[in-house]
Amino acid sequence: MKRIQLKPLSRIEGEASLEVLLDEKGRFRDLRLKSDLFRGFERFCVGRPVEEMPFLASRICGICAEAHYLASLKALDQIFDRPPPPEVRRIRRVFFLAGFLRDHLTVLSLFAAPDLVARSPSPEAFGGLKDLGLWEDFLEIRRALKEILELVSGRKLHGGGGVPGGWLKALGPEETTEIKRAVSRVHRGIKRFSDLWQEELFRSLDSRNTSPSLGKKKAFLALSPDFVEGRLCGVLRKRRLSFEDYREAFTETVSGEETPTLTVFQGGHTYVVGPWARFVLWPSPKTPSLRDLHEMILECLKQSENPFSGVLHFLRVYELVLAAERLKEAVADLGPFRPVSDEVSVPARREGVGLVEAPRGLLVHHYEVDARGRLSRVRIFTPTAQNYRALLEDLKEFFEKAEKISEKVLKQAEKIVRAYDPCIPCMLHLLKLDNSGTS
Amino acid sequence: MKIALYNALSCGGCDLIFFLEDLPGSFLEDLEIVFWPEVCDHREEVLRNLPEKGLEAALICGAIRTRDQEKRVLLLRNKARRLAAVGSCALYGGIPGLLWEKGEGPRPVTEVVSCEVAVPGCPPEPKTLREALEALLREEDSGGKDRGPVCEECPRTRRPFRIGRLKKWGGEEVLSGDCFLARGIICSGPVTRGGCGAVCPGAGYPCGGCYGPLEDLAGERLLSALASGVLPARADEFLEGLVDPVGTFFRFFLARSPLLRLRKRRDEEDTA
Repeated sequence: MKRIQLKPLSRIEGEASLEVLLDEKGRFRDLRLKSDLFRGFERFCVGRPVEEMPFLASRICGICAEAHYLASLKALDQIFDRPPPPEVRRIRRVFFLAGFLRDHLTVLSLFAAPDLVARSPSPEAFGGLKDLGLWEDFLEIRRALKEILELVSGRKLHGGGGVPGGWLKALGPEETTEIKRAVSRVHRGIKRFSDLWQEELFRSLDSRNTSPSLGKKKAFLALSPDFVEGRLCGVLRKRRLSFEDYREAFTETVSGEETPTLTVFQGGHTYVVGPWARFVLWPSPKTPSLRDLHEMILECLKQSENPFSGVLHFLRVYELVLAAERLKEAVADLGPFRPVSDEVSVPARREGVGLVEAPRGLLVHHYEVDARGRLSRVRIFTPTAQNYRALLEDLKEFFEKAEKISEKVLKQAEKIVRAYDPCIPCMLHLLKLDNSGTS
Repeated sequence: MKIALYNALSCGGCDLIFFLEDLPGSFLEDLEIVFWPEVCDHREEVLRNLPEKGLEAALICGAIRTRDQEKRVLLLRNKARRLAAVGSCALYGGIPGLLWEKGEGPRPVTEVVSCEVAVPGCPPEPKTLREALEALLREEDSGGKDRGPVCEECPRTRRPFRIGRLKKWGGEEVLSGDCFLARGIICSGPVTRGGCGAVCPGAGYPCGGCYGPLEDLAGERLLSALASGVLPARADEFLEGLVDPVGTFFRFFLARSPLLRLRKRRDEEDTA
């Protein structure tokens, strides 16, 4: 048996390596995705006060910190029975969407760009983006997003202010105006950015050999029709389903320390979460700019049940525009804010579940607490862990079709990994089920 | 300037990717990135094939838990003339260091190799990172050790305090603009080194201590400061509210705490 290692996989979030096993004749046998990023959040958070959890959860992942923060906060709202009033929901939404946009923007600009420009990109760092003439736009949108996050949460990353049912960062009239101004800059920047990307993506989709294809998918899962306040919905073999509890939708099959928890859709099917699932499950948009883009992608997906991996990046461009629209709507009636949340020290319920649509898909934070509000069980299902089985299946299918595992084939395989946009720090923080109690 | 970047056991939030909009354009243009998996297609061989001290600098984020991570950091120490440890995990073990309470956990990078430049924070504030990179370019060592506590930068009003019951949060407390400790909310500001501009207390939530201990025994010092403020008649009430002393006093630096060394020694004695 021969072993080929891609170490590390490049241009993804966090470090991982891909190990491909070949038989004596050089044919594909098996593969493994490996990473050293296990940090044990589900274990060391047990015993700590549950209200600390958003602060800790944010540190699970610096890339989608805002999504973890909000999912955690939603679980807290339930545990303390404090539904957030509309003005708090609005602020949390602005916080979440700014983080969401930063994530998609970064993935497209830095990770995907060199794969997608039709011509070969300059070898220097950030070459793909500079070739497209998008470098300055990229920095300008990021600056505006940073301002929004600092104003809303105090810091550009791992900021906060969330308490059960509330938010502690006050907003004065000037800060509100600044947020609105920054959101306009984001909106304008994304428009320019997505126009250029669309041209480039179409060009790259025409030259099909640049983008390997993905396997056919039967099941999709997402909150619909909103990133934060949607209901849990799924599609299985074109049949639409809705769920009251995430546990009706998927179950865990394998869970091991230092390997991701594998989850399967009801009936044991492999499923997909993230931009693709949202596209399948959410209604068509009404805004003209989004409608055209939506129809173009729909057309691409209709052409083949095995879409080219580049289509997933196209979906991210679509979601950039969509999230920028929703951010603009969210700040339209944003006014000055004074925190009012009073302390409640005793949990009203022993269990809380928070769901959000993180950039990579459905994110679940599920906590159990004791009478004093100390965490007795922490379960976190990240989108990357949920997509893991689909990614492995697609990679296997791709390698099985390849006649020879050449350097070129390995580069193509890396594009499949990137299309799924895995977030390795998120994926590996899990624990064995039999180890979930307090120690 | 030839440079390498590596994220060991990290959430990814200290990676330079997060600071692109904060860095001077000239800085990015002068860089020749030899190894940075997040933005370039280079594999590990690139590093191994470099001559000794062939890199001008390397930036390391995250803590060290596996042998592979340790080997990578030792390799970077060998190849880079100057090393910068970026973020709380690299410097103190950070939040994942809390895993030590369960018996095992990661080590700070600074306990594996010596680093010329220390960049504290979870994540560092852009200003902190910019200053550190400038020090790196000027070939100066920088540890930020000359700073006072976060309290010196805090916009809230300092007051002498007596503590009865500990509070978790409250809108009233935030809006008052008073020192959190004076309002019965635990804040790590007095024992945490400054440089962040007290961004968290300024935004309405107490300091979590991410810039690291101002002096040795920072956790013990905070406990001592609180204990001296507790009203004796309400000591039981205070203790009742102190749900998670380890997480509260050693949040970002348990991996470096002498308490941990004591526990390890005790565990070893038990096994022997």
